[in-house]
Amino acid sequence: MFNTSIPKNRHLSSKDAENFRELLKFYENKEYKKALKIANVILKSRPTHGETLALKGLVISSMDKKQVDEGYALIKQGMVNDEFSYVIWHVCSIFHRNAKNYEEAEKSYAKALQLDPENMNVVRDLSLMQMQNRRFDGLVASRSKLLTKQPGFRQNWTALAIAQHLRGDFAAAENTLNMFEEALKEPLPKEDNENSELMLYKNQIIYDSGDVQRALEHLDFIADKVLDTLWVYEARAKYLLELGKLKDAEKVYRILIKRNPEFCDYYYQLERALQIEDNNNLKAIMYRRLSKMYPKSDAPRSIALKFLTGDAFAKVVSEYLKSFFVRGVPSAFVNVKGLFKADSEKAAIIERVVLEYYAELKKESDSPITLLWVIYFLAQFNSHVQKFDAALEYINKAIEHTPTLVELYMTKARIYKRAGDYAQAAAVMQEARALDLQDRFVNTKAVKYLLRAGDIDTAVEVVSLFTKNDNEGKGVADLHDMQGLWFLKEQADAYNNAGNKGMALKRFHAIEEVFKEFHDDQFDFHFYCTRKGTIRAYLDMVHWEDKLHGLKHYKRAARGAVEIYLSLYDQEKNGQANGGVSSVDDGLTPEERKKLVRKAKKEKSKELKKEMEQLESKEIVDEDPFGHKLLAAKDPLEQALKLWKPVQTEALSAADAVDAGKLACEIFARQGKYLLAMQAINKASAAGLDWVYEEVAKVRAFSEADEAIAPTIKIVLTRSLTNLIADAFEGTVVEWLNRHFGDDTFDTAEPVFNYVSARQVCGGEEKARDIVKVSFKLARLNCTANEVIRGLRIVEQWGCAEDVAEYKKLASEKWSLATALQV
Amino acid sequence: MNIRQARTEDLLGMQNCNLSNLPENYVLKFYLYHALSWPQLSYVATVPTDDGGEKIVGYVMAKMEDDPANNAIQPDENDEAAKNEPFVPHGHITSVSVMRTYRRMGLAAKLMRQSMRAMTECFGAKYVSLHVRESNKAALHLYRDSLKYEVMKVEKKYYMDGEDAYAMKKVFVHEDMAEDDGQDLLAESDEE
Repeated sequence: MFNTSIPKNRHLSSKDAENFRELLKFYENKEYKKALKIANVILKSRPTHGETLALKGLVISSMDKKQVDEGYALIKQGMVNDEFSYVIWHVCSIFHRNAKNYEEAEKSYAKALQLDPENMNVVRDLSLMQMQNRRFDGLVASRSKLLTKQPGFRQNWTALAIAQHLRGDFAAAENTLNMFEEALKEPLPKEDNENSELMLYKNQIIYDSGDVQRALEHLDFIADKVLDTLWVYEARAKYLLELGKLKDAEKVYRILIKRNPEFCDYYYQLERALQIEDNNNLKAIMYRRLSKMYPKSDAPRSIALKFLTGDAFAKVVSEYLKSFFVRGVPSAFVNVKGLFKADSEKAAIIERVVLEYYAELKKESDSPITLLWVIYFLAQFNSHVQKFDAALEYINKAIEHTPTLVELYMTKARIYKRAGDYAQAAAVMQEARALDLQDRFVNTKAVKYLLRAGDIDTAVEVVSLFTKNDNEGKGVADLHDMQGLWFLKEQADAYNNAGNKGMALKRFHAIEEVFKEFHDDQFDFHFYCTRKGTIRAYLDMVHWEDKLHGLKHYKRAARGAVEIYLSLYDQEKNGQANGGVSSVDDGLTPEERKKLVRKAKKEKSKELKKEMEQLESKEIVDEDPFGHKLLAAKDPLEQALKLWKPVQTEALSAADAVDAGKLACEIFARQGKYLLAMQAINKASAAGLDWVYEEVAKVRAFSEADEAIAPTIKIVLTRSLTNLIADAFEGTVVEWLNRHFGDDTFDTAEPVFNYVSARQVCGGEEKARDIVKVSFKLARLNCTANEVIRGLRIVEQWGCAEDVAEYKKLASEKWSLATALQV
Repeated sequence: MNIRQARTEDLLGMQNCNLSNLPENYVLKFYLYHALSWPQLSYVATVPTDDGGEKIVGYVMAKMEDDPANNAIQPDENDEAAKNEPFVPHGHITSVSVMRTYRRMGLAAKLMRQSMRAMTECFGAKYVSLHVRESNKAALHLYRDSLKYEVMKVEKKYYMDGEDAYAMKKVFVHEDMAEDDGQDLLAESDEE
């Protein structure tokens, strides 16, 4: 146990004690300058007074971020001087909390509480840290303590119930709320929204515990006492359906549809209540009736299009599209686009009915606007099926008809983009923007297109028309502040494409930073929501926060950064001596290599010059304005793992977690952690994922080149590889890889890239030839412009001039507009 | 196409929609504040994506005005009668936006109708207020002509860039949300 008696060196004279109280007050009122002054007064007479030292440390760290380390040192010094002061531990907790270091803060609060067990402020703060850190056992303990001390506050009851609920103890959570209800002398008025929320929360707990019948009974009991009408209907409908009370469920879903006829889910549940999910004839009747009941609703019509086929489909889709054309709805095409993917026959029917309507309209000339929207649709349709010449012909016709309509230019730009002419796409999108300078949507589009075309400077200029700008009139900092994920990602990609990996990494890490903010954002709501009573929404938020790094926005950025870190590692390993140009197995002649080195150096110096000019022109606050420090990371693989790990642990689904194993595998194989890599591969193999062969080849290649591999690891690895794939060791890794990627494997672009990526890791004389040979498949495959151009880059890297010319010739037959492929 | 109440997972999509369309932008915490204070009042319009998810193409974010001092529409300085009127609970539309490519489907009106009903049902709101840029003719048309809002006053230089705003208001009338006509949805006869 601690010795908690007051040590001699803590005691202050009455004057100093008075000053100390003042110091606390100034700190709490954020009057840091005054606080600092008075702290120094105390320290003058008592230079080693621990509590004052600690508080001074907290004050100066709050004054200026640059003084954080100095402040922390003072707090530590205070602790040395007065080890068992709860004040110092409390100060230390607040320091960590201010730094958003919730783990350390939790430890310090716990320590402070040991020294002052009855301090309820500390218990409350500790509970907030426990919530932030998802320490549910401790949370239940802290909140029980708070409730015992202060049972008069509703929020203490709610807070405990939440803790018990999150720990999975539904009965205890429900019991806590029951006790609260019993403690109330009389029921609260209906207008009390917090009480309404609490009753609904209790209902949710009962449902979560799995007792649907009791949840329904409880819902019936509270229905006229609560305010959230929609939630009551939705919950009741769900419970009835789960309990098999289909007639009643039907009735409630019909009420829900009447309230909001645009929510598709209500219709799907209604199908279940009527037991007609698998009966297309009855479904057709139902949706016909509901379409009549709700003539302005999209949902019953668009759902019917999914299951209708043949003539019935043609009839409905024709009416559906015509109503859009007549009203000039720009989203007509995207509203039906989803139907193509599942069923190519539907695409053909749609094209037919629209062409028929087009022919009809051309004859009568009294509805030129409708005709315009039909032509617009046909342009989008042809672009979608990659008939770019036809698409352009239609869209130009439409523009000729109405040269002022922004939508037409946006679509024309999109056609060029899909056809692979990024510069022209950006130029046309700029034309669209010029037609409506007030509209930020088309501004955003133009910025995206400019970035895709690699024109980063113009993109920044354009985006800054709608941002709060810095002294140079640029809005990039504002887009960081406003958490503009789309911009950060697009700019990162643009830098990456331009070979500026430092800036690309910087932007990817900026996205990581935004996600740190998102994670910190929840903190204030742990307290706020128990007071406000909005528990159902709060729990929804808590669960969302738990899966934050599984979201695609984070995943994309993390993948971008990880790929750069991997390439940095590979480069470092393969060819430091050659000015950053790989020397191992690149299939180049010495002259070619020299040329490449010269080119790389020249580009480097150009880049450097530009950076220096930028440096001179502005005040530097950013310590790594061009990402050089990031590029120079000593442990790129560790950096990569740090970014990627949360993608696996916070994956939205089990399938996502398994798929995230691929990139983890790439890192592990390079780190020599072959067994971890095998774990990821085994899971992917069980899930039937395609990338297994690529990673097996890589693990074999990396481990065979690894001279330091432990013999026992080698044995285990060999065994588990053979367990997974019986012939894994028949022949060299190259022979094995080529065997598994036969000609028939390459029906889409993905296996081509998988093969190329694996083949690069494996050695052998034929490496460049193999890579070029397989990449040639892309020239003929059904893929996107992006993919066919990516193929070109691979051929440029690994092939000779003739290969490049041949690839361009082959690919440009289909991709005649793609500028990169023009000879 | 879907219109439904917003959940936490929608907030990033709402933020993206807002940042792509409008000049007034907010950090995520502001969206969280709305979602965790008045979870019933925000709605989203979504379309399915190729990977089986949903993309947010429109949203309405709204709140309750519970502090008279923050009244969205302050009475005129010299209107004594208005100043002394008792405070009545009312909602406020914080932000509403639909991606340009999804306009003319009536999404904004549909979103706002759902939000306004929740204001009366869950919070007993008597009316709803909003601000709109003077130059935004399309929005003004929607609020005044389709949704029957009235212009209460012009607020000078309301926006950061110095533009004036119309402060608008709509008083709620009771809406009967009973069941539908109860017809047999699967009966083939009598359809036409």
